This record gives sequence, C-alpha cells and structure tokens, in this order.
Amino acid sequence: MNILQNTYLLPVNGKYLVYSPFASTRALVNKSAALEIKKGMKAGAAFSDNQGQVENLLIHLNEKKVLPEKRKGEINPLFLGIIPTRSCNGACNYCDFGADKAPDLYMPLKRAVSAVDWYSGIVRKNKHKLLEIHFFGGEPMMAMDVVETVVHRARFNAQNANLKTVFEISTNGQYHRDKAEFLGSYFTTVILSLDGFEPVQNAHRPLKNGRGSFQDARRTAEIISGSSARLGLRACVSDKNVDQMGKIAEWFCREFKPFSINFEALRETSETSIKNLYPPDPVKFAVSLIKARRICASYGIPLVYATDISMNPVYSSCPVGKDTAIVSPDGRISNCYLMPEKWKEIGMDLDFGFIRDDNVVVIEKGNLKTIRNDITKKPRCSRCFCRWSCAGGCHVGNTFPGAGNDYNDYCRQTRMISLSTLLDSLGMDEMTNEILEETARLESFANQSSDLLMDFM
Amino acid sequence: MNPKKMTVLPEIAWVVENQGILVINTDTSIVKLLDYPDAAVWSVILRYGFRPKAVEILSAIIDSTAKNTREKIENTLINWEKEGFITVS
Repeated sequence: MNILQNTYLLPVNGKYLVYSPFASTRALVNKSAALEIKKGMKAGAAFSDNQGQVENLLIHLNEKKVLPEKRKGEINPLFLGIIPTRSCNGACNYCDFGADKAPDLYMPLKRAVSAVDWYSGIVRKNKHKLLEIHFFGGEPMMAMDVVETVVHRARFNAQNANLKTVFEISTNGQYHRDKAEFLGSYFTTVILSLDGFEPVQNAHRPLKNGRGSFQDARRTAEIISGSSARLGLRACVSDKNVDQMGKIAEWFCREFKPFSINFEALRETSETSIKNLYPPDPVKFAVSLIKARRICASYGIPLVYATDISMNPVYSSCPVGKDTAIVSPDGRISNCYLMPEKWKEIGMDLDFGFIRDDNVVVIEKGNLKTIRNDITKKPRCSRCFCRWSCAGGCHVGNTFPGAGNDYNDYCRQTRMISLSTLLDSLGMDEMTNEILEETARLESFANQSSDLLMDFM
Repeated sequence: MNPKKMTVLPEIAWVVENQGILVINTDTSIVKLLDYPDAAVWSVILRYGFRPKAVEILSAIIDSTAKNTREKIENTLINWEKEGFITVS
C-alpha cells in the first residue's frame, strides 16, 4: 500500500491538517512543515534530513500499514436484515423505498424462520457470539407477526447455541402502544423517524389515511425512551427544517434522552420536486449539523452522521460490501435494503441469493464476489480525504458506476462535516468556530478537487 | 381443553430477559425463568389470545405442525395454571 497516496493535507485558516486514516494520525502544521512532511514521505526511510519537529510525525506516518481486509471466501454477514413487508402506513413525501408502489406482500413465517436458521448456522460455524438482526421496510411493524416470529425464533436458537441476540429496527412509530412496548422489551435499538416539530413532521411524513404522523411518533419515542431499548432518532432534513436543526436536536435531547441522533439530508427525486420539497443547501446543512452536534454533546448524546470520519478505514459506510444478508418478502437475499428497481436502473445487481419455495437458502457466490469487488472501485473518491470513512456513501444513490467524478452536494456536505470532526478530535473548537463563520472558505474547501499530500504545492 | 382467554394473575409480574421471560410472584417472591419455547408461548398468547394467528406464529417458531403446537400450548398453560401464574377461561 502506498502511504503517500492515502495521506491528506487539508487547508484550514492558513494552517494545514495532516490526516492519515491508516496511521490514525491527525496533526495541525504550518506550510513549511507540510512541505517537509511531503518531502519526507516521498523519500520514505531514506529521508534523513528530518531532524525538525516533524520527525516523530513522519515516523508514525511511514509505518507499514495494511488496507482494511477485503471479504473473501464463504459468506460471513455483518448482520441479517429482514424486510417483513414493503408496505407502509406512511406516505412520506420523500420516500425512496417505493412504499407507494410496493406489492402488498408479506414474508411468509416459514421463510422468515428459514432465514434466521440459515444465519444462526453461519454464526455458529464462524464461532461468533452474536445473532444480530435488523428490520427494514416499508414499515416492518405492518407485519408484526413476522417481526415476532423472527425475534422469538432467533432467541430460541440463541438459547440452544449459547449466543446473545441483538435486534434493531428502523420504524415510523405509527402503531398502537402495545406494539411499541413489544419493541421496548425485546429490541436492543429502535431507530425512529422523527423529522422535528409537529408542522414539519406532518408536512414531511403524512400518513396514507391523511392524518399527521407527529402524535404517534412522539408517543412511540416516549415509550422507547422509557424502556430498556436504546432509542435512536433519525431526522430527514429538507429546506423546510434545516434552520431548525439546533432546536430539534435540543428538543430531542431534552424530551427523549435518545441513545443517538442522526440527521440526513433529503435526497431529491422527481417525487420530492412535485411535493415542493427540496434538499437543504449543503453548506447550511453542514454548518447546522456541526452546531447541532455541539448541542447534543452538551447533553452527552452523540449526533451521528452516517458517513462521518470513522475510527477505522472502511471500504463501505453502509451494509453493502459487508456480506450483509437482507431478505426481502419474496425471498431474495440482497446486500442492500433499497428497492431492486433502484439499483437495476443504474446497472447494478445487489442480489446474491434467495430462499427457495421449499425454504432452502441458495447463495450465488459469483454475485457476492462481484459486489465485494465493485464497492472498492470509487474513482470520484480517489483524492478525497473521506475515501476511507464515507467511502462513497450510498453505492446506489451516490457513487454508482458511471456516476461521474465530480463531487455532488452529498460529497460536499460530508467533506465539511468530516473536516469539523477532525478538528474537534484535535480539540480545535476555536478553529471550527472560525470556519463556521466563514462559510465561503468552507465551501471552497468542500470543492477542493484533491486533498492528497502528494498533490500539495 | 378449548381455552378462550389467558389472564395473568394480579400478583404476577414478568419481564423480558436475555434468556427468556422472568415471571415473578410478587406475593411469594417466587421467581421462574421461562426459557424457549415456553417464553414464546407466553408472549404470543398474551398478544393474540387463542386465535389461529397465535398457532400459526408458534408453529413457525417451534417448527411443528398446527396440531402439535396446539397440544404444546395447552400443556404449557395447564402447567402455568398449576403454578399459579395464570388463569385460563
């Protein structure tokens, strides 16, 4: 691995942040030190003229590093995903999961059990300790019987094999109290979609029956907050609520004491434009998120941005490429929970298996191998310092094959947020304050085509 | 046995644990851990009563026929009634 090709230099208010995701190194230096580091890294071990203050940094940066391990061989899922149904009682104006067009199909219970048994077998074979199952939709709780069957079968299997279970669900919270209490009792984490205060929540996320979704979402949040499950609150941010992010974050922290808060910017589709709903300005979103993150930190609650700087370098910041086995109601096993039409229209195939009608699981190893390889090819990311944390973000929506090499708004906002994360990790709060005040400079940074140290002049 | 309703007695509390469901008699302090598959019977029958959906779910969970599942449910409820956790009407 070429260390120089994975070491970055980020200009920040007249100084430079040296960042190496592989050496877990972050350091703030001036221009002459930056040039000396570049010279020293190019020369590698042969460089002997580095007696200055950068010497220790160079030793650290030049240490032999290895890339994150690529998955190979037999399937070894990060977790099992279950989509009990694609149906949903919501009619969110930005829905990207095709719930309005989804067939009214529910996973047969025997198929759900087959999925759990197959996954349990792999966990035992690999001598792992956890059965980790995530539920996606549609709205998974529209098929409560499937959720219950999976939960109990997994707990039954865990008992027999001395394993522990972890259950997570992404849900809209639009159901009766007793269902929320079930989640609170049996689930480890409940990720609830709540976009903010009542007017925005109801405008973003109306229900199919025409009612607003705020009251039930709030009640579910309260129930989960008071239960043994961890509550994660996920808010979609559009041009309608981007200015409220700080207030929303404060309200979430105060009212629900969640385990984590997640803000994601709305993705524009033909549907969202028709509904007069638009993505937030990326600079405004990034600045608001950074400020909201500080508010959350004052409550001791992490504000999570999905593609933020990670502790360890990754090839993918989502389930894709991690052997994640997500089972659809029709029995397909995929690496992604989006509707297959989404990836098919850009020439991708993220299916790698299926459950037959006789409930036997079939894995198509060739497809799995292709997916594992394809996610590592990200030409747009090759000179971006987020290459090993964001790793291209959504492989279907952001950096799909042929998506182009220019940064888009998602890239720009991720770059701004990630820069702030790096500065915060160095305790450079004042410097973050400065860049938040000078948004033109921040925007210019976001558009910088190469962050590589070797391109620094 | 043609049960209609399972009722947890007022002195009985229960909580979901990693290993199953912990049932506690708050009068006597007697505690019993229901492991699987009994924990599933407790949870599913409390939610669905004796509707066919309960049998369908439990059949899938314990991988058994509907007939055997019904027998399993009945035997389990008889035991719980004897142990003073529930009444079945």
